[in-house]
Amino acid sequence: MRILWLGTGFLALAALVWGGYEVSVPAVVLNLAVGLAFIGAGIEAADRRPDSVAGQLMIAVGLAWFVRLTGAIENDVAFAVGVATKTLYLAVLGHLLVTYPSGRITSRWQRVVVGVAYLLTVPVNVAWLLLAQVGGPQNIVVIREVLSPGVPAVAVVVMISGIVLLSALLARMITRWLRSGSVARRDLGPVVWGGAAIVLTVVVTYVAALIGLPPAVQVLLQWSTEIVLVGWPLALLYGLVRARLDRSAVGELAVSLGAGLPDDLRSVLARTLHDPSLEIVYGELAPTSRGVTYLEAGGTRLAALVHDPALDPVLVRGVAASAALAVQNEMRAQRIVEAADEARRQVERDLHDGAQQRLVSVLLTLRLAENAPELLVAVREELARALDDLRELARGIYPVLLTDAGLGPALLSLVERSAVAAMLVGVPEERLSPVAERTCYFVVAEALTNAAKHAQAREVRIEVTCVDGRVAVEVSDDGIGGASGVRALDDRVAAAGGRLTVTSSAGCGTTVRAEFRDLPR
Amino acid sequence: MRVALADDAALFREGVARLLTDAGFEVVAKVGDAAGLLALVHADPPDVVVVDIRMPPGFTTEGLDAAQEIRRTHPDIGVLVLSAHVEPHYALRLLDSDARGAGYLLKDRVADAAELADAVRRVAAGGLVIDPGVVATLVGRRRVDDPLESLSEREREVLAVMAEGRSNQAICERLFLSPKTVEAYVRSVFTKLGLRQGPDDNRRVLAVLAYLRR
Repeated sequence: MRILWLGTGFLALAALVWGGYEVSVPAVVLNLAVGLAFIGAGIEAADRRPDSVAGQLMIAVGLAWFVRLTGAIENDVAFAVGVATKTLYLAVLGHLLVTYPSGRITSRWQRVVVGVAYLLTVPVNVAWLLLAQVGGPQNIVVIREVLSPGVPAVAVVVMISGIVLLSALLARMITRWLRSGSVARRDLGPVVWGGAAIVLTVVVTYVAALIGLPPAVQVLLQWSTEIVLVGWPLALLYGLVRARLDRSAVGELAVSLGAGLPDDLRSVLARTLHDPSLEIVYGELAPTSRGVTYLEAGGTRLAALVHDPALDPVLVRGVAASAALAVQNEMRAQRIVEAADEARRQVERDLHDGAQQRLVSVLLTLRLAENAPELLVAVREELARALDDLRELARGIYPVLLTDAGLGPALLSLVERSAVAAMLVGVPEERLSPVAERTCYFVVAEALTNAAKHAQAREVRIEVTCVDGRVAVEVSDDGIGGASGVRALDDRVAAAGGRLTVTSSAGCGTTVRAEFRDLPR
Repeated sequence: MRVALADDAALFREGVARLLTDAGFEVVAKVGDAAGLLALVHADPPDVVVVDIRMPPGFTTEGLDAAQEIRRTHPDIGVLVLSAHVEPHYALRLLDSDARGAGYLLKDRVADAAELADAVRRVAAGGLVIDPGVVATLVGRRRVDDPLESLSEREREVLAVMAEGRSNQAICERLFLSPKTVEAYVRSVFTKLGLRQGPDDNRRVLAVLAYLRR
């Protein structure tokens, strides 16, 4: 594509400089700038938005602009080609403006407008070449004062048709801009206002020619049309660069979300996407005509972003991915807190229904024993049971062996108390970091409880390995399969920076495997 | 018989001292931490030390460590570790291959003065004492194709009492059986589990515990 850009640019330069006519430096520069700006911006746009053919149309505008420069070559054929294609670029430009941003004709009126626009250019120009008295090749490219006795009738018709068409296009673009949402307005802004400026100057130039303004004024207007023509693709390029800035904002968003979920996630995302109408919907989503992008993590839909459909889908997906990670972490943190709270409630219940209850009856029985000493035996038995309850409770809250003796003894103790037969296949000889040992222990404890409750397993095999700081805990049973309730484990392993995988198929048992890196102490 | 006591809970320490005194023991020292106990043992070795597993400064296994230290430096002193944990791991830490005169008992057992006094006497005499709760954990473990299933209920009872470190004589008294019957049960247990009878009671305890722990 770069070759197209440089090649056509060079050909145009050659035509202007060595074509045979005297062409001023500003004219060369401006002519080259218009064509190169359109082709360059078109290549960039085609590359960035493969879903749209607007880029290809911009390239076509640039090429049409260069083709008419053939008229700068002092030669009969070149002159004919130059005249025939002199106004073609305006038709292509109209085509582009009518169909922006998709570049595709989607309605009847668009087809009519674009068709008429093309008819008014090459066919009319060719007819003029054939019918009118043309006095040999002359420079038709360079803007200069032409003292013509009057505008031919055909030209009047063509110009009026052009004015009508272009004015309609102008009105249409402005109403479209007014009707758009803020996102589309932001996208359309450079296109609409740049396009409007071009159309306006062309219309004014035509009107000036029609009403016979002095040639000096007409020359000025033609120059300004060309200047505006350079500016428009540059405005479009600015739009594209802004899109790139928007995308770098996604990176900044990821960094800022990495530090934690903001109080008002919605407005942060709305700011990043420049869409004040953005909504975050958790749970069921009502059907909507607006754009919907899901926040997904690990194959689960966490929430949906409901946004202006005009937003760049790549940009929204990037923002959604960052937000999904942050939301997932938040939910995980929330679940960890909830699990801790639930554990506290459970401890409270166990204390209340167990030891506390027994101590109350001890108190009561002691009172009765004042008159019936034989009740003291019952007191002792009840106290012993209260002690058992407390001991079991303490064990469940935190296994003292884990810190005192390490993972191996702690796991063996679990195995000895397991409700399902369990075998400790292997445990690292060396001590791991406290957090790693805790993670291993609770993974095994939870997986054992699950296996005992749901798996109908005959035996559970437990193996912990640590190779080069990579810890793997594997608990596999020979039960009925179909694992459940490992969410808390998932969070615990994720908190240690690792991952938990559960493989389970009906009849083939369940294997819970946690892998994480043990950070050096 | 001279007993030294180490426990950081003063009330409990005094209570145990009282129970032991009432049972005819001479409580020669009462200390609140492991360092105090070790100093005392070096200065004037008692016959038995009764030590809490969890003491200052770390409140982890200071008492158990001190007990092991005493077992090494003064093999003829009996050590009885009192603990709140039903953990075979701690109990077995006391029992090396030629262990003698060592015991691991739940603190709750002090409620039965006779049981405490019996344990102190047994470790003083070089025997081994393993808390029934610890033994119950070992015996109650779920196993695939559990060899213990092949034992009769009586045989399992005999196995458990053996694991607690009791002699045949004690088993007779506990289970109300004649010496001959007990011997027959013991032989049958060892045959069914494929164990060899050791030359003495302590070896027998170690063999049974090792079997239950594997």
